[in-house]
Amino acid sequence: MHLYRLGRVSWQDSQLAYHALARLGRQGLILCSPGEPYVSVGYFQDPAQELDLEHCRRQGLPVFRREVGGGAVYLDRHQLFWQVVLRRDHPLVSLNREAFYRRFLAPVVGVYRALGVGAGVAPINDVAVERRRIAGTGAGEIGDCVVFVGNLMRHFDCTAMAQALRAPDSEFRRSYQQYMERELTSLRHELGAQREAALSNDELCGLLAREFASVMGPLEPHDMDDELRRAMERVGRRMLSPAWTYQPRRTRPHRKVKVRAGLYLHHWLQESPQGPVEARFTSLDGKVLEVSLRGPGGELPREASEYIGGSVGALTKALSAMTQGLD
Amino acid sequence: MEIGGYNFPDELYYDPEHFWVRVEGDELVMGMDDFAQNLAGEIVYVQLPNEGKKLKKGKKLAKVESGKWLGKVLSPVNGELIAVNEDLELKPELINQDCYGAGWMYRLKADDLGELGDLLKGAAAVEPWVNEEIAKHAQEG
Repeated sequence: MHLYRLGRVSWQDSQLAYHALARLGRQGLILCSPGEPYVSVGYFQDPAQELDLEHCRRQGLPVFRREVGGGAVYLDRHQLFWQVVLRRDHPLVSLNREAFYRRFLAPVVGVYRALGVGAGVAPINDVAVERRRIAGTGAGEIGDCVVFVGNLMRHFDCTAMAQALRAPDSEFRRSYQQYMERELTSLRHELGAQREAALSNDELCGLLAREFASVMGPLEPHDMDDELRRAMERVGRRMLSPAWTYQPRRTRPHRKVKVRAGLYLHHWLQESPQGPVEARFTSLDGKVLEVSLRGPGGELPREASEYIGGSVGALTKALSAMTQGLD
Repeated sequence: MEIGGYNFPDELYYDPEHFWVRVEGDELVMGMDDFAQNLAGEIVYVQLPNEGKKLKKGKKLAKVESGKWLGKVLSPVNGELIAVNEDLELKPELINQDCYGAGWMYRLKADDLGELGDLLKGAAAVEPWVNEEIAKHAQEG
């Protein structure tokens, strides 16, 4: 199997390379880092609903919609990408997602541990240090291949992430940023700025290649070749077009933003003939942690606190019933 | 029939990619089987392509996401997509809750219903296949 150590590449190439490799049906591991910051959204996400596009435009932050699951994420040169591409019929590819993730996150955990960071897999597909997330991942079936992509987090810019995200107001954005700062970590945070800075990307790539080889088998260094470049151009013509990136989707009344495995911030807004009904809440493992409700004319008749500790499903069902009750 | 704790209704056809097919007159209804929806976990998005889409057997019909995994739904037959389950747009979890009922996914018109013969049907065909799948995934787990 081939190993592509691409080094620092353009933001476009940091995404196009694995999409193209998969379209070609070629297996391998790509390691790279983007030269410029950008925002990537999941396949099913509508950037207009997920991102503050005006902010992105002002900051010159490009937006890319990947053919992989998961949510919107801010990406920059402080993240080292690993991108696994395997054919769907490869024996290591499984319908059992949990087993697949556990198998292919082991190398990432191994690298962190080799650096002295006590990371572990946080189901279903996060890597965490004492519950603080230290990697983002996503998977997708592209062409005849499965891709599994993620990053080794040298440092994560929570402010840039929070600013790029579309938020109903500054309170939601502030709350999101605070949660991110509390619930995410990085090599810089774990090792200290000096030790993190002393680690070269080359050294980190060496560790990643070694660890992934223990799962994928021997990895043979391979340069970006003409066939791959041509495939990247072809894929780029489609995936860098506004028609692909900004494909609209139906607005959902319930907006849910992930902070880390199991922890979400929610914003629920639905119109009733008397005005909008709004709920903001956080949930951990499907249970409501905090909630505030607002309806036409101020607070809704029910006490928000009665939903704390209950399931998210029960709360959203109650919210729908409230909205209908205001007819 | 129940196989290893998973429900596989007798009257359905099964695609080895873990989709079921039900014949309704000269139309087909399809969805994800119980084994696949269990292993996939919470389904969060289902692509609902436009009706009229031409379908090629074994090729991508749509995409579905669960656990940050963007998977493919492959067409079990050559033909045309004639309807989608619109409820899945806002409630994709219906697949987890009732994969053979409210969580149905697509309605198709097959060019040749004879192609159903390539799918699995009946205990003699379905049971060994499901048992093999269970054993395979148990080893991985």
